[in-house]
Amino acid sequence: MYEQLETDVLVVGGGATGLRAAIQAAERGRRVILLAKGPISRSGITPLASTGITASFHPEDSPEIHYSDTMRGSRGLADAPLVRVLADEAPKQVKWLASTGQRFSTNEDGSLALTIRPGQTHPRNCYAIGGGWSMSRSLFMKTADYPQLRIVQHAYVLRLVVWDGEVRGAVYLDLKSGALKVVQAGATVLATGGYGQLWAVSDCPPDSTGDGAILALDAGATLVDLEMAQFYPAVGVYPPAVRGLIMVPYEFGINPELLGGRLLNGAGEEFVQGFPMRDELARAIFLEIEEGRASSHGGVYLDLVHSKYPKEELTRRIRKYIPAQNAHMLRLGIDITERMIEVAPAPHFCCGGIRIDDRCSTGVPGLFAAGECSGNVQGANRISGNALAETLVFGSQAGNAAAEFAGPSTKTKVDATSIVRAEEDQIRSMMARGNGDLRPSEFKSQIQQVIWRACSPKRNGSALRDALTAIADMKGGAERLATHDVLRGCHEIQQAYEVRAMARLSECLLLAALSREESRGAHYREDFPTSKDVAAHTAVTWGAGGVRVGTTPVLR
Amino acid sequence: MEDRAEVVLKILRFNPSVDRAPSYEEYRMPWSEGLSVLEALRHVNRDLDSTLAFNDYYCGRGLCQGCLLEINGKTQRSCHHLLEKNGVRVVGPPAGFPVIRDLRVDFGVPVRLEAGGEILWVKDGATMETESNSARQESV
Repeated sequence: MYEQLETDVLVVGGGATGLRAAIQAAERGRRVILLAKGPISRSGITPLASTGITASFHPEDSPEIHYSDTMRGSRGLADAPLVRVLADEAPKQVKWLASTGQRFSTNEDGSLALTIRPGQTHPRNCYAIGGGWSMSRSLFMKTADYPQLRIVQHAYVLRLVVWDGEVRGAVYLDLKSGALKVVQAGATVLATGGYGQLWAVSDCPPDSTGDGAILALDAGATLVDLEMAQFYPAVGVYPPAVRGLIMVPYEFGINPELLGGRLLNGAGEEFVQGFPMRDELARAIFLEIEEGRASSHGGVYLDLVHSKYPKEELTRRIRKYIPAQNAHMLRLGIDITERMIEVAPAPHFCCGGIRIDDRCSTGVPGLFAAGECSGNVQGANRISGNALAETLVFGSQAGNAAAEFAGPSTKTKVDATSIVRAEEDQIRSMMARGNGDLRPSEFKSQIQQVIWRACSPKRNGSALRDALTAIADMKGGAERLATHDVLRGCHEIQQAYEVRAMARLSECLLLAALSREESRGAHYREDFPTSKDVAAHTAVTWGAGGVRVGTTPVLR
Repeated sequence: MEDRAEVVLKILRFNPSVDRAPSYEEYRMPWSEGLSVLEALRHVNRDLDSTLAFNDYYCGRGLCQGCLLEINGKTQRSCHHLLEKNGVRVVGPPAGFPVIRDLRVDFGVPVRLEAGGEILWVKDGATMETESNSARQESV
């Protein structure tokens, strides 16, 4: 027998979006269970986020301008109703976050301090002190106010329970004990984040493997614009302590009003004009490196040493805008006022994902999605600060919608025994192969190399087709995964399931990238370098014949 | 002849479901400039012994405390603990948390027993059963 838990609303994912959704559903009087793969605020993507969260508080700003800036930044690919919700609701959600005790930078008169980012008409980024980590922590502490909200960490959802076309909960692996358990739920919210780990280099943590996208796909949802993986232009390359991290966001670094630094190529030349958004800058840096003008370790230089501000003033500004990153670098012997760091583009945020409407419905009854795991909010290019705003706005929307769908009374239980048995068999087979071939970490590495080569800031059809063949050839690997036979703290079994999801998502990503025969935002194809007049979403679904790719219209 | 500096980690291994008692295992690896204990652990897990359980997470800002470990008897952030050439460290799980396995611990969840009351950290997954909860489970 297996343990069954029962609830009104199930939330999958312990980042800002999941926590916000769970809190909102509990506010609406529902019982909530939140399942998180790892320890909250010490795993996942949210704790890595920087400090900026958008809301139109500036006296000259408005939700209307926030909306039009975001639509323009999306390069014509965001769904208008969703962007409308983001812009309208952001101020209210930021105020709500402040009410939980999350501290923000303020001006002398007590108003929220705002800074401007590329693509914004007016300063729109509030500054959450402690960034994503602190937000995560504030939300986690807030959950203590709701006795009917139960959080289970080290809980990895393997399959959604679908009954008669409706999602009725999930089967999850308790990573602490190795036991399989079932949650019966009236409504399920996926808040599982992005899939940056598909690339060999990224600034995304080891657990950002896109499992939620596959859960949704198998339940009948649509994945849109998977090819729109935003590369953050300036992710650390050298020295080793900053590798894979955004230690100096370029939005602070090269803003003459903030830190006053520059980006230099290997020859010490400035090559950036103005204050470009992420898609353009990532491509510009990528081309400098590709065309042979890289820094010593294959990136470009982020130079604060020759900032327009004298060292004392610069130090004061660094401590003001990037205090945690700076303190951490100093602990590791890196002083950015004395030495340049090397940076290069790497995947950072997935603009595409599970298609939702403005109430976070996926179209599959009982299944909602919000945050980075959802698509069609940011379009082809995301403006700084809009991701953290998205977590709160759509986390709240999803919590409300799920609470309404679940209703006040308990639904009848569904028999999930066949799913549990099937996964038990899977796990047994993997453990039976023990120490042998194929280790999950090796399979993961193979997938990452393929995607890194084919899905860079400059793509072409031939490389994408080769990658698709490589992934198809690797499919057998999923059936040969071997894990040590340890049930307690079974992280290797977690890894095995993660790489199986990664293999499937890779195929979807490559098909989507091939099907978009144009260049737009994060997706640049040298064989199709211009943008079509009218954008459409690429749309991936799963059926009896396997993966299908089509298009779906952008809502205007 | 090249002088290849190494570091040694003596890591406490313990599976409470299977082992009668914890024991130390020794791992050697090449030293490099700026090598932290956390980075060395990732190296162990990736290249030497994938059975080692630890919280594979690096926030890169010294904030999250996900990398808390007991190093030479003191619980601290392993991301900030740099190793010197030929350094040796004794590494165990951070003190004060229930051990899941090896270096993986249960950091717990915050609960309030009464509205506006103190926050308690309880072991993850422990149910704070109330009368109404039990009644619901029975009726299904």
